[in-house]
Amino acid sequence: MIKENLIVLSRDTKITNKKTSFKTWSRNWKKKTKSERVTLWIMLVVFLIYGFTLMFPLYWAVINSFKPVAEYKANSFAWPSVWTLENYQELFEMMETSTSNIFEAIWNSVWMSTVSTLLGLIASSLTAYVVSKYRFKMSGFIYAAVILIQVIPLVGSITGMYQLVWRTLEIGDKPLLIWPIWFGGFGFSFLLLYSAFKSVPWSYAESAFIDGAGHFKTFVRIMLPQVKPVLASLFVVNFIGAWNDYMTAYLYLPSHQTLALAVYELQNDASRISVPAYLAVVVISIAPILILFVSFQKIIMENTNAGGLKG
Amino acid sequence: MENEFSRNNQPLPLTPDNAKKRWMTRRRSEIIFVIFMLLLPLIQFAVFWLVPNFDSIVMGFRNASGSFTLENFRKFFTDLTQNDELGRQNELVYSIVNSLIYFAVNIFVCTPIVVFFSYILYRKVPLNGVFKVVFYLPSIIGGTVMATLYKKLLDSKGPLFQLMNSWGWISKEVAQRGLFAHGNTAFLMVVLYSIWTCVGINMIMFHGAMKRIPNEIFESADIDGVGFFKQFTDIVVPLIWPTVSTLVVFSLAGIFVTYGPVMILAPDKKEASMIGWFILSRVNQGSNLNYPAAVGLIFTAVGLPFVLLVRYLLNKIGDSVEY
Repeated sequence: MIKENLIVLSRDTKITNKKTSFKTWSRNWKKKTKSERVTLWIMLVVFLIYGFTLMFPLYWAVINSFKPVAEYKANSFAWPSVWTLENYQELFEMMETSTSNIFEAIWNSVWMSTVSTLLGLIASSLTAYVVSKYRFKMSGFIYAAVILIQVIPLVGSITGMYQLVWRTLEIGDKPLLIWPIWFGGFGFSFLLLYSAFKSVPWSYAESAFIDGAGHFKTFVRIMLPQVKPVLASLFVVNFIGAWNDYMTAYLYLPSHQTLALAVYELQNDASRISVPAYLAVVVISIAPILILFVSFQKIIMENTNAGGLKG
Repeated sequence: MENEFSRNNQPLPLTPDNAKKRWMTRRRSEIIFVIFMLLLPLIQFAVFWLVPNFDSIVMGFRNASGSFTLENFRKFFTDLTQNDELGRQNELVYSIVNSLIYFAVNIFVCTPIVVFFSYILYRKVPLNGVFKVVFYLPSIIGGTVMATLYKKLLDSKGPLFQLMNSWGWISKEVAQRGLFAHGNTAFLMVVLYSIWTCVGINMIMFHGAMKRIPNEIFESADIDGVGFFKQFTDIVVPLIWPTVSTLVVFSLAGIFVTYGPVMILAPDKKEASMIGWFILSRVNQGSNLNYPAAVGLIFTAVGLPFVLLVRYLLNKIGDSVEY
């Protein structure tokens, strides 16, 4: 009963908030000058057109992935008269005969995205914490070097990396041995975590030291939880980035096709797959990240915002 | 902590000697902790960043048999100055010109559009929350999906292409081969794609920077009768200039490594090639890594001073303002 009341109360609060925010918006709108209002209405039209062009391909992909091939060929813009899963079936059957079947591709995407994101975040947390909180000779140098690395256009490094993976270390196409590639602690996540740790007062750690905690325990139990929101948002953002990354699998794990790689490789394979079946793999590959985006939209947008660079 | 107490748990007297000893112990444990935390990431960095980059420099000066040579650099200048065996311009020349055009479009078309769009969202255009999500969507969905859908809609069998063709918008010559397969239009399609999807993540960055501008500045500008566009050019742009310049520098740093749009939209058209794709396509062939390494080395050597120069000029144009 109490739970139900709370649910109703929270729902009502949300409605009230919406009304208030609309009132505020309309009050602010009236305050605007006439020329500003005209400009904003014109831009609203521009935005609607631009937004439509961005959304239309997705809509087109979804409806055609559920449409019979003949109907797609007759009119690909029309709403499906019959909703069918035959394109998904064609995709599953076609991929069965290729390097990985669809379930392997999904599994590869899941484990690669999870492992690469987790390893990257662990490494970045370790480095960002000590560089931001401990005074030692190299700390300033490391921070400056990380920024410099972002700016240097290292054009040919991919040749060296390819050589290292395939010829020197011979870890190409060996998924378990490729893990160290992802343990990078000096990238963009480092910069965000560095500023997050900087803003956590050192007195928290000092209290832990007085209570007898060591440095590592203080890091794990006291300091890391303080940056949990940043870690969570970085996890979501980096996971989405890793999910969409087809290059790692393309260059270093070619026998372990991911969904992103399947989207890339099947695009020009008209002899093996129809367009609607191709659109089915597109829908399968974007569905999880769209769900993730909808669920964590606020976190993602705010994190990107927090990362808004100030020069 | 152990050293601060004697064996029977009584605090040690704070003599200069004890204080120094305590400080030394604490400092030693700090150093051990720092080494412990940084060791693995530094080894990873050395193996997977320093070694490949150093190796790519060495490879630039090697031939197929592994001996030292300047052959790769000679080949670069030959490719740059001579036409191919069919008498057409070399792919390398197209790649350089296209990379520069791509960068110019990025800076002079995309950046102003994104900054202005962000300003419009900041000034609360109706449905601004919805637009923020919709414009950000391409960054979430990823370049592969967006680019392949763009291509599926506009290639020679694509519905939009056929629609435009039926309206007579496409010349016969292009219509025969398609927009992505014709030398005259392939790179144009790559550029249009980059303009179409450029708003995304940068909009959120600029919007975030605008939100940090104190509201009082706009209120006093309103009282002084400063108009909507004047506020944009004279208040917003100068105040978010550090963000603008930083993002421009980042995009410049990526100019010679961009390959995604070309790789998906027009991988076989040398007229659409860019430096990043020129190198990557040769790396993926796997046989001769030395020539692409040399090309990469040349563009790193050219790109670095260029990046620093642009950064310097951008900092000169707009002084950082604290607010």
